[in-house]
Amino acid sequence: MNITIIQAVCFILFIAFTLLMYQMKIRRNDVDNDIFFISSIVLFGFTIATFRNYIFSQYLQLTYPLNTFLFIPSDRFNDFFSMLKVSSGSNPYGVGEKIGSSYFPVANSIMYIMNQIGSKYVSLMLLYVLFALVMGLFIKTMFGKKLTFENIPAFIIITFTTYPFLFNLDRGNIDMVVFMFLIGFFYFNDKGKTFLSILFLALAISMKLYPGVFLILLLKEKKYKEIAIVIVLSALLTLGSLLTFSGTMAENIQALLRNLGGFNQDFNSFYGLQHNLSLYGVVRVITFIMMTLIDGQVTHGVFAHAIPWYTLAVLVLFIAISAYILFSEQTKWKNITILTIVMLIFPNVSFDYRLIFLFIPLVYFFREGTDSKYRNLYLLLFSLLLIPHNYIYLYWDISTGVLIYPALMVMIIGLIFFEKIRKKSPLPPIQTN
Amino acid sequence: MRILIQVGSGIIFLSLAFMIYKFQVKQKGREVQFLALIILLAFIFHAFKNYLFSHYFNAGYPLGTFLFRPEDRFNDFFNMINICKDNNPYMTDYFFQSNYFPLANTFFWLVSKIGTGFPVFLGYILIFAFFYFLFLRKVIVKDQSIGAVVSLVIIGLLNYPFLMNIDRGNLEAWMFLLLLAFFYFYDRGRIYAAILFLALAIAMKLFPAVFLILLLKDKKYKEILITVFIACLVTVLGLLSFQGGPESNIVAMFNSFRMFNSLTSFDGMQHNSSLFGFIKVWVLISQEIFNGVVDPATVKNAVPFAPYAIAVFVAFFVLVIFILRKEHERWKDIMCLTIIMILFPNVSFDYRLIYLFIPLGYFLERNIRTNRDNIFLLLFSFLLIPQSYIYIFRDISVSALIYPIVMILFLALMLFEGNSSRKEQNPLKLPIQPSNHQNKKLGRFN
Repeated sequence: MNITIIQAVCFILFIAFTLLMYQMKIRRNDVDNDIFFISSIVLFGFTIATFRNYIFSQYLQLTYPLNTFLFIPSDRFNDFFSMLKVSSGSNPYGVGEKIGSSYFPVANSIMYIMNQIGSKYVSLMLLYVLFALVMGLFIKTMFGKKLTFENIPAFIIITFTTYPFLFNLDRGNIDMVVFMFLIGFFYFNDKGKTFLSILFLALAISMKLYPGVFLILLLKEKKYKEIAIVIVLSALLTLGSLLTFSGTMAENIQALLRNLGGFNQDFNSFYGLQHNLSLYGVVRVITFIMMTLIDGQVTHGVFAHAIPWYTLAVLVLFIAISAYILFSEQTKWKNITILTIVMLIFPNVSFDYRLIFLFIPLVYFFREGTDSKYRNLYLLLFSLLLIPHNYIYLYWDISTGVLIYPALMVMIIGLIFFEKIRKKSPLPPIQTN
Repeated sequence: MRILIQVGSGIIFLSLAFMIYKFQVKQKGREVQFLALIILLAFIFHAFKNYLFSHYFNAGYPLGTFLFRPEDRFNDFFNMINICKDNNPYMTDYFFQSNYFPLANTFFWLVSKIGTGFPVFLGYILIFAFFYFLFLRKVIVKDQSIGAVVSLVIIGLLNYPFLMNIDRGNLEAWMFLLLLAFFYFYDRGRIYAAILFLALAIAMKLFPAVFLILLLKDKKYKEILITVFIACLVTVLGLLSFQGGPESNIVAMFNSFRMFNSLTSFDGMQHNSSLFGFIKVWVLISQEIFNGVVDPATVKNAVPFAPYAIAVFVAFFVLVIFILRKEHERWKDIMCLTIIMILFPNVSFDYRLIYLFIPLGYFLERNIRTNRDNIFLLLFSFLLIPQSYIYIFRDISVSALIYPIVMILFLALMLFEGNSSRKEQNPLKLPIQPSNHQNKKLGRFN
């Protein structure tokens, strides 16, 4: 049985079903069907991927990457376990050693606290339960006030069978904690409890920095004092954590920078391209494809000096997008969507578990996006971001997902811009004398 | 750790199922959604559990799947194709001979004329899936909403009997279509078309003959005779067409049947919903508990077939009386006969659970609603999901106990309701005259 044929059939089946559902959605253009539309796409994406993996793993006895849409099964939970190990003592950055954590200090401190539970499996289970609970409660808000019997299947599908959720369980990455902190930020911000909300944002920023993009939202609301507090809090939390580590503060910072440099160097070739949704990944994959097509071989090390240029390019883009949010776009869900996507696709490495953050704009889209002319299209794009897209493997475990996720997210931003432009240029008024 | 995962997932799933059931009892009238929810939850639970076992723990069969041995995939189809391709099914050189009835062999011989490779199997499955979904669409999709399509996808695609049929490629998939056609034409009053399909089904595997009881109940004596005649005729024609002549084929056929029945020690106890299997699993469990060791020979001989056959025959007779004289709702008659068809044979693999979709269809279309409908719905849903929570011995799981128990519960509840509702509805003990015409009207797929 030809593997490519199975992959192609699965892909065609999925596309056909998606188009059918989309057509149905357009025909019955009521908001009540939105949740069922998303759940139908997620369900079918999950089912097709599960069936395909079953065929490959059980019938054809194929191994990774064909037997799963997640990461290497033997490496399960290791984002969590590795960090737990690194943070078990008071020297997470490996001062005086060769390697150590490349996470920010607060992330290490949180892992240190989790370590105190004793068993690594119990810690992981606690994290899972907390994550699933927060996720479930957050997604429940998409369903209005009450879950009804009709929409419980949709709730289960959207909460437990999406690719980002499963990927997070598989890796146990600390992004789960960052996600929960960001939900805390948005929840309390909506409730008007500013201090609590910025505390959660500060925690998120001090763990992984990139949630700092959401400061643009505070800037837009002219909450300058709050921005200052977030920055001070983040700095304090970071310093506080650093003080608890063995070695001097300077030594720890030096070790962190060394580890971060090593981390970036690691992901400079084609390593780390799998399950990746960064724009830099797209550049690397396209380069890889062109090299294969033109030279017939792949030369490693071509990206040795590319990161500074890439960083400069995304910085310029980020400034332009921030200006757009600050001065032009007034719709909250669109601003959150743009910033979330920026947070996902702009870093040089961004693994698929980060797709979980898309649930934040999705929930806001459900609350506020009812008036958009392109609602169905947004829904489709959001749904497609919640399912596995490893239809074809380009090289080893680098699949088409690396190209599809960034493309879908760029399309969402493009659609937001397009909608703005269309709104700005109405038909000229008819002159009546 | 493995046992913990198995037991844990079983407990979590069952608690969720009962929680949803309580919710359903309160809400009422959400039958399709309830079924979809239970099937979805069960599929997710088993998919997660199987992923844990197969990918994280590198465990092979049976822990890696709730279906049959993956390396033996589709072999109920391919074996039959190989056996029948020379039109010599009972005396072929293949590593075993057919134990099917002649018409089933003729069917596979005809299929083998198209080809013997995977594309033919794909066609075989696709035709089955097409009519199966056509039927389910009629029963499940009541409006053109996306929610209804989601329910259709869940119920149609993720249920255990359907997946088991795809995995094995057994003839039962097409037998199911023949029975669907029988009911379809029967409900429309096209009696001869209906009995033709029933006769074909009987000639292929005999046990669909239980549905002759429906004809008997409707006093269609002539049609019963015609069905039996057609079934015999196609069987004889099938036998005549085989290589080696009819006499030697008849002898070889009975030898094959005997061999099949004698083989069933542990083979055939896995993925089995038969009552005979249920009893043997109990013997196995008691051996494991009291002796600590399981002896295949003892398990095999512990339950002699003859007394079992007599007991089953008596039970069948009682149930037939019940259907003919007491029961009035059509879906219950059909359910009763379907359970008989699945439960009573000595070997009855889980793909046969697909037949339950027929009474389920009638159940969803019924006009009379009672307080016990929710329990019936729960039992239906439990019969459509994998139940392999714990493995008792090798690949024999608790499902070999659960399916028969659920079906027995179903029968008991129907018998009980048949009696009690009769008492409730007829307090003055006036004689009730069931109208055949009314019966048909109550339960047909419109």
